[in-house]
Amino acid sequence: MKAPSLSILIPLLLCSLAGVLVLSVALGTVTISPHSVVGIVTSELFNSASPPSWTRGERHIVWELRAPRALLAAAAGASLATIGAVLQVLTRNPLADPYLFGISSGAALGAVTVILYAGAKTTSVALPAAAFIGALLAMAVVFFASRSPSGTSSERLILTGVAVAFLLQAVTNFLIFNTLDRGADAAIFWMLGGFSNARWHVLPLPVVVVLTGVGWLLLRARVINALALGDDAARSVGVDPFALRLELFVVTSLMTGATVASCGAIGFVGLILPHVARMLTGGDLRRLLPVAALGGAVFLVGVDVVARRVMLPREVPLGVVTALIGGVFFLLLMRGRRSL
Amino acid sequence: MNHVFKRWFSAAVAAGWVCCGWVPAMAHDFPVEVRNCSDTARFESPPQRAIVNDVNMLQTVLDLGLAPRVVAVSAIRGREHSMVAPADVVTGLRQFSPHYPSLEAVLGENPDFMFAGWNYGFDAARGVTPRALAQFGIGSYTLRESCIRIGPREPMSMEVMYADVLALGAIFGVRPKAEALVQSFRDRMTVLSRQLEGSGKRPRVMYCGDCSSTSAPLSSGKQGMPALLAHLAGGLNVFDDIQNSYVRVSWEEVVQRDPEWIIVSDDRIPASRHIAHLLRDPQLRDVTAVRERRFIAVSYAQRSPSTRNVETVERIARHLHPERFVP
Repeated sequence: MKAPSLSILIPLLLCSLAGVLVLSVALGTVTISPHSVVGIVTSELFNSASPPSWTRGERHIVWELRAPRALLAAAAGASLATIGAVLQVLTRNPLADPYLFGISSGAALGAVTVILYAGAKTTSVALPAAAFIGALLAMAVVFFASRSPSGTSSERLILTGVAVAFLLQAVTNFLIFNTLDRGADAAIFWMLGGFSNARWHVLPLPVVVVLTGVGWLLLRARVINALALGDDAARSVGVDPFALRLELFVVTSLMTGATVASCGAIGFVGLILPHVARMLTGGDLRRLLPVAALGGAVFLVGVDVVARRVMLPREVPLGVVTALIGGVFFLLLMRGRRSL
Repeated sequence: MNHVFKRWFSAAVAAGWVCCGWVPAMAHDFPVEVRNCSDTARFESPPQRAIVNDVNMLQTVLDLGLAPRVVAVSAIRGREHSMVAPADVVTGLRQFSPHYPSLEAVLGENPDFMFAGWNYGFDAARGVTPRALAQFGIGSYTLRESCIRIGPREPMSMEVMYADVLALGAIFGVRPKAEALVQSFRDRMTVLSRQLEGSGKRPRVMYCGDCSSTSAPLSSGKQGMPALLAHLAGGLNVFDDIQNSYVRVSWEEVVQRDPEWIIVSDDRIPASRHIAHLLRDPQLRDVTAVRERRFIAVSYAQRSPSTRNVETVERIARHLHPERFVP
């Protein structure tokens, strides 16, 4: 199979993204007529003052819940897939994903602490803020613990990350165990990941960090490519592998932190989407990253629509659907190829 | 002169009627403020489109005669039979979600009020909280007992449940009815405590939820409602040393503490299945309650804070101390 050119892939993915975004705003656990949905969105976007034919509740659902939710899903999908693609190169490990360095465990600990101990004072900003702080702390611990006089190898980085992840998970699990009657269900739901807390005012942090991060990684794609060949090869083309690894570690950790803070730890996307994208584009990050980012966005927005519709009126936890759809899709894709 | 007086008199009567009659009785009570966990909730007018989550809270709302103000309910499915209300009232309720609802599902009902509790429908992770609802102009009241899940509250007592009834009475403009209901509860509890006075030794009681298999049963520590019911009925909760509400305990401890009565949950899993397992498990053979087959089934609303708690205490007391109730 010849790799399709980017000039076809990118417009195709952009159109798909627009399509799933529209679906995501139009469909949810509550059924609202397409006429009302279009009316609500246009009246919000263009501030038209025509007398509404929809209820206040319907307006809240479409504009205050679904619209930011769709955008957050897109940002999270793009973020996770891009990070996964970069980390798989950085660590030369096909199993690397955004949660490799314990960042998500730090975020989970922050969020769970707030859920369990701040109670009613929990605002929709406090939860992501605490999660982000937790992610930053985890990042700092991994960063300092993995330093050594001879520089930071990727094995050292990975092993430190795994140890920190287990440590923080243990603390989180203890908190949940210790306060079983005080919102353990809520904590577990959050750890599974989902977009039900998306609101306009929680969007800026993830969107800005993710867009900046994806942009940064795209600009650095050529340099990161050198790492794929090993440290010596990287040095021979004038790249300091240790410095670059730390830079990428910080950038991807910040992106992971901002993503996990706003929607919990959504599995599978950051692991599988990069492989799917690689099958389409090959290993060059300059081609791989934009396809992975857009593919991740389309995938997560689409999966979120399915998760909300498949068991009406309940929402299935997003992680369940990402793993099911992603797993089946990936197995089919693997069967179709000999290599890999 | 006389007819002028008459006219004035009738005008005064009319004014008096308007001032003290039903119209201002609702209007001049508002706005009302009630305690909502650690916050104060303010209501400018009584809710007209209320939604109520879970069986015990719905029971309290129905007992206050507020069914006409309820547009939809959630998390009732499969437990309609346990509601105490005329059949047409229960079937007339529309269930918009068979489980605890998502924020979108709540907003879809376009409500102006929601009655739920922490871990009884309110949940920070799913974004259904009193504050989130307030952002969309929806008032709410939180089951007082559940406030312990997010912060401190007064120790468990019937007053905690009375507070709910009085707060709902204020919110919906039916204060007299709520006050009368609470007064009748207080009177019945006074009568009961007199009847139990001097009844001597308190029998050991255990609450048993999730008791239909060998996995760890869910019981109640000192802060749980079932422990309170057992205590007020003249019993001694065997897990009172645990300063918590619902807790998982081990079967070993159950054998060790040897309850003389077991209060069995009668909910989605019927009491009969719990009892069948309790009678079958060989390690429980020598537990007094099992040997003597002393089981008391309580429904969800009876054992969670609701207007059905007082009659449940009375019923448990009759089991524990039958000698005090001979006519």
